[in-house]
Amino acid sequence: MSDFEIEVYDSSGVKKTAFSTTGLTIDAANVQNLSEAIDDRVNDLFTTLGSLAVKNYNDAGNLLTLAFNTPHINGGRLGLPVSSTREELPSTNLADRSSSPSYSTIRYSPYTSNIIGLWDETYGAWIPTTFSQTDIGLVGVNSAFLPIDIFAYRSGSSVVFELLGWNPPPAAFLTSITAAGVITYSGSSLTSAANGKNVVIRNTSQSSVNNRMFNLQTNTQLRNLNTSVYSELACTGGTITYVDSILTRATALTRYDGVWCKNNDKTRKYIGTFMTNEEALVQNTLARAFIYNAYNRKNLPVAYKYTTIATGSWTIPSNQTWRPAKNDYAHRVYFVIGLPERIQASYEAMYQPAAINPTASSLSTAITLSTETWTFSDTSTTVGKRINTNFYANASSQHYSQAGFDEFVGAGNYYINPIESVYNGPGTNVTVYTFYNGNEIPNTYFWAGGLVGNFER
Amino acid sequence: MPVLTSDILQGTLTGSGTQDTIVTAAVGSAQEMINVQFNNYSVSTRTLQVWVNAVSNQGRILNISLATGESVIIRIQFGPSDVMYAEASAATSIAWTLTKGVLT
Repeated sequence: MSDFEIEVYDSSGVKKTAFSTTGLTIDAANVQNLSEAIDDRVNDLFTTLGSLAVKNYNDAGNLLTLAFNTPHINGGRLGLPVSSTREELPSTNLADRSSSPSYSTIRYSPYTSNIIGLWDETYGAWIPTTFSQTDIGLVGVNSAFLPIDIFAYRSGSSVVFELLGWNPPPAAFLTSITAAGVITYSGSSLTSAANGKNVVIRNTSQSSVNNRMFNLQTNTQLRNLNTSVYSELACTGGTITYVDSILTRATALTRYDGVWCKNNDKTRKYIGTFMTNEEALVQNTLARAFIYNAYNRKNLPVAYKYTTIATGSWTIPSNQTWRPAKNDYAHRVYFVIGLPERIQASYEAMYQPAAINPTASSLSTAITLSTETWTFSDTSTTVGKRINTNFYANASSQHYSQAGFDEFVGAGNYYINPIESVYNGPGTNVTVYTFYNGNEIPNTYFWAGGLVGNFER
Repeated sequence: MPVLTSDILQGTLTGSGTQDTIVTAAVGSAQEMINVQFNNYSVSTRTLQVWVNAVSNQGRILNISLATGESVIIRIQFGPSDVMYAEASAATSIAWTLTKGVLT
């Protein structure tokens, strides 16, 4: 058999210009192979589309699907399960844990679109997948302030989410706390393995919020355990351990086709990280930025503003070594980032000496940044820029002090602390008063100090 | 010198489930020009299937729905031993008329 023709006529004998037929198979040995011709056209189409489309064949080698390949589409953003206005512009009075709203879910909402490209093994491609606003339950919460990664993947044609908590900080046991009261500890009793590490003192009678971390310097001295810190450690019993390293992911992130995914699992696309507070709930406020987006990030503020949070002035003793501003560890901003980010922050405060100082005195402020899960109190460890404000003490004048921080920081959970110190000239003993609210400084009515910063999240 | 002979054959397809043999080309080196017309003379739409050499998906050359009075004409050049089969979806519905020219 060679070529053939088919003509169809209607009941009036008029030749039809078009008709349909199914199941037409052409003998490849004698006639043009129609499927090959179609394949040629499909190949032309794929050449034009490049990597935006992929072909998929069945076991018989026949073209099965044509799929659009969209690893770059990420239409959603993570946030609190509240209105977008609240998410983007957190209120300034949300820094305090007790007064800040907290939630048991985290919301993934359409932002630039309602489509996300997810890898599907069936098609061998990143399939554009539609989603609607979804509230994700908090699963995998192992510890307060421990980051949790969120991955999106396809289930059928739907978008679902997988949560994976980071490894808790590895700790090594040092000793037990047996006596109630203020901890006093002899450096010589510590093991050399703990030198330079952060020490966690865990009070068994209280919740994790009362766990505190201290930096153990070389030569086995817990020299940073000053009096005020002792007061936080009114332990009735517990343990002292040290942390061997900074936090690590339980499963690393790996780029597949240029997209961050769960290592060895291309179907799990990394979309962000969050952490929870002391009650295993998520917050997202100026002082507690607990939600980080891998895509559609915005440069949003963080802050601990004195005008809206703290009240009252404080005193800095003479020759005070570095300590937290107002000697209060609550003056800080907590945050989590899932990828390296630029972190910017500044601290401003106004100080007034209590008496005339005949010689030079200096007052310094700085910003520290900790990389550990637990509260960090070694104020001598300063990261980033530091600006000292020097002045001759004069009881009738105010002095402005500022510190700045601008660094690239790796993934992890952090907090930023403003710190302060005073150096008095020889033979003097001047008390320096700090004023933080413009209304308390004569002729300075509209000034307000505090910690402010921003980063993309 | 080649000699052209012609022939006309007619029939009605048996109906569903039965593939009738319309024509079988002669064994040898002969080439046959086949013209076959199928006409649905019933009052209902009928489906016509036509195969060449094998009643299988690979051998099927036509699967068409014919309304009342509609016809389809197939022109095909057969080689030695080629066979055409046809089936109607119902009995007493599709008639066929075949003309062929044989070059020997």
